[in-house]
Amino acid sequence: MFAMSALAASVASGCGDDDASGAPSLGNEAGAAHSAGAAADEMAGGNGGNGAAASAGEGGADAGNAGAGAAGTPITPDVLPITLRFAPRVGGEDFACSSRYSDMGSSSATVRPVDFKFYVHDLRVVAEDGTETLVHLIPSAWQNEGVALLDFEDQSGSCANGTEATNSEIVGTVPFGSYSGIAFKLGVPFDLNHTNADAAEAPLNDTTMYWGWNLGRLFLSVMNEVEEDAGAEGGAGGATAAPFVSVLHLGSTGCQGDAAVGGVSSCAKPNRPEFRLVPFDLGSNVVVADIKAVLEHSDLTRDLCHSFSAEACSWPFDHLGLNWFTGSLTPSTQRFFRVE
Amino acid sequence: MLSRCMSSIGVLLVVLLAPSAGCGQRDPENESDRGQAGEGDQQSESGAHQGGRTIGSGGRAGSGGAGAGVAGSDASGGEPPIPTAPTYAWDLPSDFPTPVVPEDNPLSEAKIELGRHLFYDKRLSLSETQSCASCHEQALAFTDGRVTSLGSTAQAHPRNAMSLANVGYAATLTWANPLLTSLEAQALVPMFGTEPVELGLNGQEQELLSRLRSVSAYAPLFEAAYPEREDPFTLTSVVQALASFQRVLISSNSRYDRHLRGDATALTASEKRGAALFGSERLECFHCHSGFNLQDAVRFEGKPATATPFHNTALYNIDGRGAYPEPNTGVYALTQNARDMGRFRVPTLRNIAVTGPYMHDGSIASLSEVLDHYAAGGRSITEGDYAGDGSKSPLKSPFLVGFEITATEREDVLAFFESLTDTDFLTDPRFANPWP
Repeated sequence: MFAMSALAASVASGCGDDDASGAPSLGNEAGAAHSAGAAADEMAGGNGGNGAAASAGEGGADAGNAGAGAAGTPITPDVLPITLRFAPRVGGEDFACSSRYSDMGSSSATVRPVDFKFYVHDLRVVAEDGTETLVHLIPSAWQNEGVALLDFEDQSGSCANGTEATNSEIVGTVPFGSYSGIAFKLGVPFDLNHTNADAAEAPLNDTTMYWGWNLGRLFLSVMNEVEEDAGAEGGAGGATAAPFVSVLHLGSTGCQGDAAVGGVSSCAKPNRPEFRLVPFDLGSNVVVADIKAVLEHSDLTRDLCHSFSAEACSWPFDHLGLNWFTGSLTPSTQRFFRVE
Repeated sequence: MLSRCMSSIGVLLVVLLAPSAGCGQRDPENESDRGQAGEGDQQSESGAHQGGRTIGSGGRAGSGGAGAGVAGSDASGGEPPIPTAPTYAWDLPSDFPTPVVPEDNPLSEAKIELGRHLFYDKRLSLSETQSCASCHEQALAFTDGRVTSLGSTAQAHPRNAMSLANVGYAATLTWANPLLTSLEAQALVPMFGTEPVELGLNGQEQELLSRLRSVSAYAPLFEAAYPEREDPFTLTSVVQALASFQRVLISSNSRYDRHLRGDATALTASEKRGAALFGSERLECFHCHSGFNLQDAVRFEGKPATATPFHNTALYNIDGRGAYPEPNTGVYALTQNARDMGRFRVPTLRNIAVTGPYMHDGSIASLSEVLDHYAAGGRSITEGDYAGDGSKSPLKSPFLVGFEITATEREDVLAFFESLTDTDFLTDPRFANPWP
């Protein structure tokens, strides 16, 4: 029904009509012919878990996605190129660093954006029968080893400490077939998360997403500069302090290290929420990423959520599909992503 | 052999490290050298040091390679083989072990020199107002004298700046972080951290590298440090050089060290009594401030870290269950494991007299008050947000038992602390600002 539209002209072989007849060849069987597909089998097996044990397993499976020669995956009739597009929003408005947004959060703050970025990994397409197939991400400056960085700040306006380049899409290939949905996880898989940023390949070398003291990556960074009340501006004569910047930084917490080995051995709360958007048509739909919805119950004049504070984090975590207190996944509570 | 060769061909390798020029520090047979080491060196090519010590090319220059299989040897002559790969020759006193050097960042004199330039370069903060040295001043054993530090954007840091003396031996880095076990990983925290902002370079590494490229002094330094890299101006190069410089910040020549090496006149009678009290089961100090570095969690060649001791020293007990005030909750902040509340790393006590104020949050001003704290078995705060009796904390270290101490004994222990100051280290030109 929501058959995937192939976006490359070279793949003209009737993919749009592909329905029932194509379905049996999807999934594990077809995947076996592709290196990415082989990893998909493992991924599908590991999807159910959450909590500490699952996080270690996730990393191993994802590493399998970094197949040799991946960059050169030929576009053949049995491999479909796909592009997953994201649309950054603040409620009903497009996200832009030069804009200001009113009525944000529980205190109805007016804010100017400072940062909006997140990592996505374990991107899968979902077939009619629910079978999931890992999308092979084509390596680039924005995606590598199965991880993509979505970056919506362009250094303009209040995002002054950012970079000009932006990225709002994930580009990959899947086995030829018909798919009616997508699924993905926010963040960076365990095996890639706790590496040094200076030596990592893009996009894992982004120092604005490096969480040095926790020796990992930020999975999501949303920062907003909060405007003072008009009434409070009166007296100071312009020499005001720097505006408060509210922070929502999502990452793994409760991480344990072993000094004998170095690095991180496990994290009690991996905090990698999973999203399943079905139906979703890759040809016509976009994934709306709405920070206003995530921050709806946050007090932006005060809240600094670095993933560690119950007071500042429990609501936005809930809206990301995470229970802050237990670390468990709560997909039904997420408000971050929607299909358009 | 190698170290001597290095010296004789004018390479700075041997010049760099510890003033005390003992031989074969990893060789137990040379234990008897303790006490004599270094006293007779007459060379002065790199400047005189206090106490008549010099560093450099004496025949007894230290031996031992940094884990690269360069065995120490005696001072017999012979033609120097030209090393095919630069191997760092530590020059450590005989009672000091060899620090661990990561395989992917071998030490070299060139890297250390580059690291020293970077360490003292304000270009390493986005606002060009701070360098690493802004919070780590050599004269204060690489601390800043503040209660808690200030970042380059004037954002307050919740912690007291730690000494970098012998930081290369620390099993974990910073005050309470079991995850940070290499100086390379740690360097990224002040550079790119935002909680709080320290140097403020997050997202600005290209700006940093272009700044460094524009300084003519850096090209030869980077090229010498990384001859194998086509473009040595990378973030990894910067990080590895900073780590290399910090790794060789060895403090080993306090009067207490000289006492341990057999110099019967190095300590006063009061200081000796203080040392004995420090090591007594009554005061219990030595359990945590143990070993050659007066610090329990150390690692070195032949002794990997097997545990990461962190201790709750009963400074706070806000809720009666041992809580410390946010954001300084210790290892708990990372692990969120209740038993980690208030657990912090043991700092070395070397140079402790110049590194105040004390504790992770600088909340104790003087060493005398530190003694009061431990004598009471914990700190009692009677009013305010942090009110609570630390001595009743269920999480406090079992060594916080409290003790009685006479006025004379107190003077003795404080005198002992003073004897841990290594003036050579605090003034060593090899560790000083290289910029004009």
